[in-house]
Amino acid sequence: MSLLRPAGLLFVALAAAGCERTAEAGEINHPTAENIPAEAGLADIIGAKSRAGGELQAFAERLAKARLVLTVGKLEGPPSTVFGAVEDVDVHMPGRFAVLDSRYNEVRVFDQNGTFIESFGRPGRGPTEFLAPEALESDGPDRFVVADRNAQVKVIERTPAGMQQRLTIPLQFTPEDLCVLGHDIVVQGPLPGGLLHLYSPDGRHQRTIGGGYQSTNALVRNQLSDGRAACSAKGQTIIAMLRYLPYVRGYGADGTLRWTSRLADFRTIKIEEGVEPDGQPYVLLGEGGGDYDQVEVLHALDDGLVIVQTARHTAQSGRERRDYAELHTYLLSAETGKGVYVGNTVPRVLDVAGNRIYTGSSEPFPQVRVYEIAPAGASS
Amino acid sequence: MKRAIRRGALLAAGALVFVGALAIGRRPPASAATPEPQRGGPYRPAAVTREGTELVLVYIGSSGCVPSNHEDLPGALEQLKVRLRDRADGGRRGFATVGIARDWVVDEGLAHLRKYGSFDEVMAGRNWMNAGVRRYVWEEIPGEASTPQVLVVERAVGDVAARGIQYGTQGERLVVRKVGTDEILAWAQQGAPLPELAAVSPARGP
Repeated sequence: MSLLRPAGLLFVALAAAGCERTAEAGEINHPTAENIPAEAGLADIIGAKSRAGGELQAFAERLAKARLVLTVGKLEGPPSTVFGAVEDVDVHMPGRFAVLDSRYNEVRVFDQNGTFIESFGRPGRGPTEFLAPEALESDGPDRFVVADRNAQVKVIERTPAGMQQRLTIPLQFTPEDLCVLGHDIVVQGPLPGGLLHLYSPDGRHQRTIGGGYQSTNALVRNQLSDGRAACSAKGQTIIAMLRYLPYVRGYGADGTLRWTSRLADFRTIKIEEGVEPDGQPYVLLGEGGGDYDQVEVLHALDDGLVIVQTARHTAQSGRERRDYAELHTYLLSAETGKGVYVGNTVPRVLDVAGNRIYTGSSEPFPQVRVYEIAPAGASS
Repeated sequence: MKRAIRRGALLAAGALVFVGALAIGRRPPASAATPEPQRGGPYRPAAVTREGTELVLVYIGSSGCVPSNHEDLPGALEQLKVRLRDRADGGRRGFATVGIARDWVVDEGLAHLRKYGSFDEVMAGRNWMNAGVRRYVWEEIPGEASTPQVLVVERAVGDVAARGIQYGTQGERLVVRKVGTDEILAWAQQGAPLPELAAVSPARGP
């Protein structure tokens, strides 16, 4: 049983943990109307049969046919080759990629052949130490940004003396995701004022943009404002998606909502809010079973495309204790929000650089798997 | 006679003082159990601490946590104890097991741990503020706040201040952490593989 965030009087039960509750009168079923945008205003409704044509469709077809070219990580061997948990990957320079291991609380760097180069970080609360690292981004070849669920963002740079922590950005929330727009750091995490928090390279908070889940209930607002974020350099767009809702949104860095698109085949989890007989409020997710989706990945590519991946959870995948039953991949334009469904064969994407996709896997043991996308125009 | 008794008493008292002085700063006395490494069979606490490097298998669970009470976990944990004990012996390390129950009610926590066989050391009570949980989840060896989980840590044991008067552990580091029933069961099924451990001087018994 996991320890969820301390929530005062609130009690949150997950059906998957085996706890059962009785629905009370006066319950609220989410999402509520205020969180459902009008269909007429949507940039696109993207379903399995969507065919966008052009560059988007062509890349989607190549992405679906990517082939495995490299596996990094062993069941046993030198410590540098045994991962605890592959949380994130970032290609910070040509021929190198960094892996964030959230069990060993460190970052390991490998070359394009999977040869270990160096590592930095260790467990703890001090400089270059992590408690629960969640996301990794780079800002150039020697500057790394790590979001730690200990309500911090840490910026670590290479110096003549080695990798050293240059900056700690204290947060008023638990970060869920992280991206870099230009040199600004964008951190996704729920606050009453918004969802996406922009910081300058020296750690000053610039602004908060984007709306999280709307509710007068603070815990509902926090719990349902979890999600993912990605930064697209082309067009300077920040893309965000709440974990349990089918809407993908594109914001300008000034906070302007540029577009909203909906994933047509996204199955919303049953979310119920109510009050116990003793007056304790509760929120239930997934009570009663049923298939549901949640966003796993938002990743912006250099050319203005965005990969969206949603995980389909079913009763069977729960019984079999799998991470999910299927992973559905979509490709959207960061500029317009128009998109196409790619398929359910693309593994969970952590980074894309050139024609390589970097993915993480925990089965049968933690690994990084690298796939290559066929060049444009190549025959399959 | 009284003088002889007094002299004898003084001699005995002096001997006790002398022995006591020798005892200060020494290694904790071993029990009468053999210090020889265990070979084969179910896991049983060694009742001895070997100076040098030791591996420690830590289990954290709770009687009130459904996944911690999965029917396959006790057997898996026993496999892990035996395999890791043998691995430690082969690597010239000492070995110990620690069971931590994060129950509020101590007796319930201890009852939960009894389902998992023998441990060298147990802790129970105070929920997430349990001393062992603080060490292996929140503080020195931070990790996910989730149960069940198992960790293997490695540390040096002995006269850590090198002055003959301070006995303890130092340099504790995480070797592996597995969180959740599935990970633990899979790891046990895989034979409890570990990252390669550095060569060390043989652990010494008393």
